[in-house]
Amino acid sequence: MENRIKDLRKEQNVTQQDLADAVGVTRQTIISLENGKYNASIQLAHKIAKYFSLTIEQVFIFEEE
Amino acid sequence: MDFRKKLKVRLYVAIVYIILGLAMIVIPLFLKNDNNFASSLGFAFAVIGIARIRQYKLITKSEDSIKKREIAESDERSIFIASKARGIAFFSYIIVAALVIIVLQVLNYSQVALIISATVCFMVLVYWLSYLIISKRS
Repeated sequence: MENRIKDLRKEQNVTQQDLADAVGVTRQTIISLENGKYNASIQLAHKIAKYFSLTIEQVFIFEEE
Repeated sequence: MDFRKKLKVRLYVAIVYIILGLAMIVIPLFLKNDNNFASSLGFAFAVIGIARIRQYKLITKSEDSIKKREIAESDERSIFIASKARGIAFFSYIIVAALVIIVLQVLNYSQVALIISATVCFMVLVYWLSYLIISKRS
């Protein structure tokens, strides 16, 4: 599952640590999400989308197999 | 449970470890029973207790460090990794134990092989029971 976290963060001038603190995860988790190594749970996806004032679909791009 | 309460419980458990450890060291001395196993185990308990108290002090030194620790412990990726690692450890143990049991049987150490077989059966039983309980709750 791809996501736009890195782009949104850069657009809004937010550091990985700021985002991690805001959504209650470690910076390493944000790094893994940005690199596509880890897929967020629905709760975390919701928190991240809410942080950027967007919907989950606007942040996370679901690829159908 | 609130994270601060969790930390407090950990502190009490550490104190219990130290008390248990000291008791295991001191009681054999009073009984004039030179029990090396009990005193070694007691020493290990005491060291673990002291280390946990030190860890508690480090975590609770500031609000920021408590928050950081809480995030580190509740981080969903860390939980996912730990769960996956436990799964691999469980599977590896079953495979290695099965091989060891075969080798021990061939070498005629059937008593040891029986004990290892019992631990494998116990682990598999706990796995299935846990699976059943968790699947009913989820």
